[in-house]
Amino acid sequence: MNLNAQGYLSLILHAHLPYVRHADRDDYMEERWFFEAMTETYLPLLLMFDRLHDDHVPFRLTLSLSPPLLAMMEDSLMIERYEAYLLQLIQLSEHEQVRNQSRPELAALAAMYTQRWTELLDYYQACGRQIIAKFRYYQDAGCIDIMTCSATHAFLPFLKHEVSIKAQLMVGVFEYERHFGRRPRGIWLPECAYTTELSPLLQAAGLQYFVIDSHGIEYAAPKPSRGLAAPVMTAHGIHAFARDPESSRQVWSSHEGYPGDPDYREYYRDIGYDLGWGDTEEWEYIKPYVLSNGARIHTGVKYYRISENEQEKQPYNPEWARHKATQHADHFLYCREQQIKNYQAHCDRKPLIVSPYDAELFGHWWYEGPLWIEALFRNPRNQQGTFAFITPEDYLREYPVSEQVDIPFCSWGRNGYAEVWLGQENDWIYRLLHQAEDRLLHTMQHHSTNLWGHTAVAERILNQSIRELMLAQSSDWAFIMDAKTVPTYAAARTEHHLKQCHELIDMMEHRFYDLESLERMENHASCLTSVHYELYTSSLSSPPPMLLPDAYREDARSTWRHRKVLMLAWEFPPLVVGGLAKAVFDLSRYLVDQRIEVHVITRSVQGSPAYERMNGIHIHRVNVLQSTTPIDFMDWVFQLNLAMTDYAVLLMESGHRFDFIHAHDWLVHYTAKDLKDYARTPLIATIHATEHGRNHGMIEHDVQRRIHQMENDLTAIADQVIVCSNAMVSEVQSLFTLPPSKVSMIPNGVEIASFVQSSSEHHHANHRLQYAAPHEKILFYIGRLVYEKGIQILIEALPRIHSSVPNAKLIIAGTGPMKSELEALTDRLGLTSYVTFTGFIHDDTRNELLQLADVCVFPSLYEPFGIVALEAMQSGTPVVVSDTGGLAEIIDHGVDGYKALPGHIESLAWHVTEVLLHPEIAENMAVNALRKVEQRYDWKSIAVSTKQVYEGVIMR
Amino acid sequence: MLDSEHAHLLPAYHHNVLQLMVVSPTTLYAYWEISERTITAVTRHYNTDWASMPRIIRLYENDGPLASISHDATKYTDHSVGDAASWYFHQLTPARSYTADFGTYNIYHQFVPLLRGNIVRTPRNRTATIEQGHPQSEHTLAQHPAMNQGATLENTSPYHEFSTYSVYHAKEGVHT
Repeated sequence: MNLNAQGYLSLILHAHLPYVRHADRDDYMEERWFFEAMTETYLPLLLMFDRLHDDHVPFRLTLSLSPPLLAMMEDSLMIERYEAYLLQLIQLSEHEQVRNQSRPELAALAAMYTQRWTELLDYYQACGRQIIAKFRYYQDAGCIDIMTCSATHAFLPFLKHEVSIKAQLMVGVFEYERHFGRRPRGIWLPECAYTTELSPLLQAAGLQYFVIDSHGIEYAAPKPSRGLAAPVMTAHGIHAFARDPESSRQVWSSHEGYPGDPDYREYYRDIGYDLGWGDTEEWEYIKPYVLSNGARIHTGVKYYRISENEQEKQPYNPEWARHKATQHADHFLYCREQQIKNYQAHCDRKPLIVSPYDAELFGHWWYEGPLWIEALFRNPRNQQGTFAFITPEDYLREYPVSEQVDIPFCSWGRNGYAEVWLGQENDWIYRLLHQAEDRLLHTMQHHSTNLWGHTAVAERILNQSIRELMLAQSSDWAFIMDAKTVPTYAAARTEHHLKQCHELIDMMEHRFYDLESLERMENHASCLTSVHYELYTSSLSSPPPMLLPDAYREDARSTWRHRKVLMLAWEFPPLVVGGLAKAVFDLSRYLVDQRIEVHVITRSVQGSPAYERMNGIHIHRVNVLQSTTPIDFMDWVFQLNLAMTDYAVLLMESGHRFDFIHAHDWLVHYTAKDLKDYARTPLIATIHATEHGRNHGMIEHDVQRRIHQMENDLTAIADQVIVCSNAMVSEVQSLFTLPPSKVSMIPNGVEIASFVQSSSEHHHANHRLQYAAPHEKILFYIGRLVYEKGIQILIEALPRIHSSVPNAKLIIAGTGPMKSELEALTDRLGLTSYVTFTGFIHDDTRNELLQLADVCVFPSLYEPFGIVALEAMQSGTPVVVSDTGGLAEIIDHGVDGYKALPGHIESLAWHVTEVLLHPEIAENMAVNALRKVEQRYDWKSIAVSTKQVYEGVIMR
Repeated sequence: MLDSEHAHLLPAYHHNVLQLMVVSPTTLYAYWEISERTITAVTRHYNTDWASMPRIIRLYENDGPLASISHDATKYTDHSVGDAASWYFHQLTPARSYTADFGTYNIYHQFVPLLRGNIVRTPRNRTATIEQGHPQSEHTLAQHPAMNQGATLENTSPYHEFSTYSVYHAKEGVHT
């Protein structure tokens, strides 16, 4: 390295071809891309290195070699075919010498080709056809740096999953290591496509630098102070070297670029296209050298130069061309010197000009390209000290740190972003590619925890499926579709590899390993040997535990399976709005005690995890898509069901098999129906209450009608219906026309001994003072503040109660839509100082109040069950309830409580007063009540009853 | 190439997907797949055939992150996509976060999201300035109080009128 240089030049050649090896046939036109590139670019480059090396002319450049290209270079079939290709070319050129005897200029050119291609063939054979080793030699000798590229040159920002990007990078790293004996430091990002997401992945892969287009630096934030004269660093310390637009334009541009010079060889005048029109003999002559189906191709024998006049192409003059190349090289270097001088004025470092190009430009598109490169290094300006050729690695050794900026998404494609690879011609591929990615990931996740273990064949299948997907992901296909050169071929390649990928995944899923197919695929895509499925599984978090079905858990070796039930409940703790949440929770945990595996799907709650195990229950909370704009209630219910169904299906597809589904109330009706249809699982529905009942028998509004209909449908499709009281049994039988055998009565329960009698009398007394004076009686109601609970009756009864029991205080706990109305009623009756609305209270407070109160009152107008009455009974407080529904069944009038006429103010007032005026009777009833609860309403026996219902349904 | 030509490549998955991809600083591409199961559920709930239902993509936009639609989406645009399975969104803003919902309108012309896509960010397409001030957020949506779920356990229903099992209407008097 010339340390006296004022600035640096970095010439970077990106060598890549899509994998065009076709094992089955040898007449694919696309395969010729490889042979042409070998003949016109890669071998000439190596020959150039040799010449410079022999002449002791120093040279330093960077070369990226993509894994698909390397795979073809080392492949024995491609090697064999390439040799045959060269031989055929040599033969053609010899024939051409004969054919052109009368035209000495052309004959001389033909001779030039003969000599050229013979030289290449000799060289190829002399190095044992192992040209990768030659590149390695020059890297090891310190003349060139080799960069890697992603596995199959995929447009990385368009891969759906991060793990897929990581796999592309790591295979690029491993393949490189395999060929070059060390880890790569630089990576050529395909199409220079960069997004911020790549930064940590590049770091994890141990890569240190990459190349981007100039606007990547120009639009970086904060604005890089050195502009294009220096690289920048990402947040993870990876260096980005930006393409210099000026040097790029001078070579690439179709108008002003060097390759358009009249002295250079004309690409489009090839005997493969020019000969045999209207001359049968000529056609027969050239026919063996075109495609077997007669399609014209470039043979490589071209006789004309670009010329000044488009209409009259002049014969090619190699000497003029060579001279021009030397001139252009000098011009190029002169321009770079000027550039460096300009940069120097504002740069605190030696400026760096980065000139990256597709390698195939040199030699293939621009025939004289390699000569131009050689002339760059031989040019005497190299010794003048203005500039020195370096590589990015050299630069990083001198300047290991650069400005850290955020580089926006960019590429070197047309217009700088992604329109080349995502447009009308090629957008269709992405849903297919992503779907294959999803499927592959799903399979990897599944099998990474599979206890069955992997046989060697299964591993090969997994590996090959990755290979096929990666080949489908090559950005070349989309590029070709956009360029419309061979779009049919590109589409066919995409579809073919995806099809193979799916076939292989099918084999894994069905555990049917078709060895013959596998071998055929391995032979056809015999590249990327470093691919291993661990690339996907090691970086995947293991599937979330909720998606792990029993069979795959480590300890599940026992053959005895639990029964497995899927509960659908719109509310579940900690989301507790009404009795349903608690009822489902209690039922679930007692079923767990009965050795049933319970999964609950319910609504998400802020602050609660999406999945957890509580008391042995598997709780899955699903997200309902929140809109930013208001939405009708029934639509919200619909959305909830969509989310629950999707999630349940996901569970089942992960391998969970449920013995039954247990739906709670109409809110989850859609899901219950869909899952029953989807999985053909028996369905049990618990109806906690009906719309009809809630509305006193009146179904008026649209919404009420719909709810009633859904309740009807739910009971119709259910295999068994459970209700919690005999009143409810009659109700649902008549409302929904259900046969008696279809309805089971299982009451709700309370947990025995869930009550801890709180500490001392003293503590009690103190706490009681918060609500009432020692001589004042406390009436307690807890429940939702809705019409059917009849709280308004109780408030209206209070004045009558006061006439016998003055200053009795009423505590109303709970919340609901009727709150403000009840408060207004209280106010109207002048009872504000006697009534306390506590709002929502927690369990502890509730239990305390249940005990503190002198009487608990539940004046419901409609009450399917009345679990809160059980809780009051369990706390040893006398109860007065409405003689309706489930309450009527729980209480024996005068034995363990009083039953008042529903909706009857006087009746309610009278019974409450009786309790308050006769404490011994009250006490007696409370004792009986407690005993009843313990004997009849304990959850354990209720869970057993429920289990029996389940078994009954299964047996049918 | 029409998607139907490649139907044979689609395994029977019945999954919903809505994927956004960045084409350029001002253009996004989205493709989606609505499963048969979802379509059946929608047509059943609305009692209308799929072809008659509005098929809408709502594209949300924000300066900064878009972690929560209800909090972060400062503006949105609705696109009626009909039977299409993909779409290009043009004339968008560089350096913005975008996501999208596929949904429909109910009879009140309220948008009902059925499927939500991923979040993408359009790149900058000009030089960064030293310190950009906070841009004015355009029509910040008034937060519907019912949408702020999960504030406290007391207020766990998204609907004031809804209490556990049913919808209660405002007019509640004492019935006899």
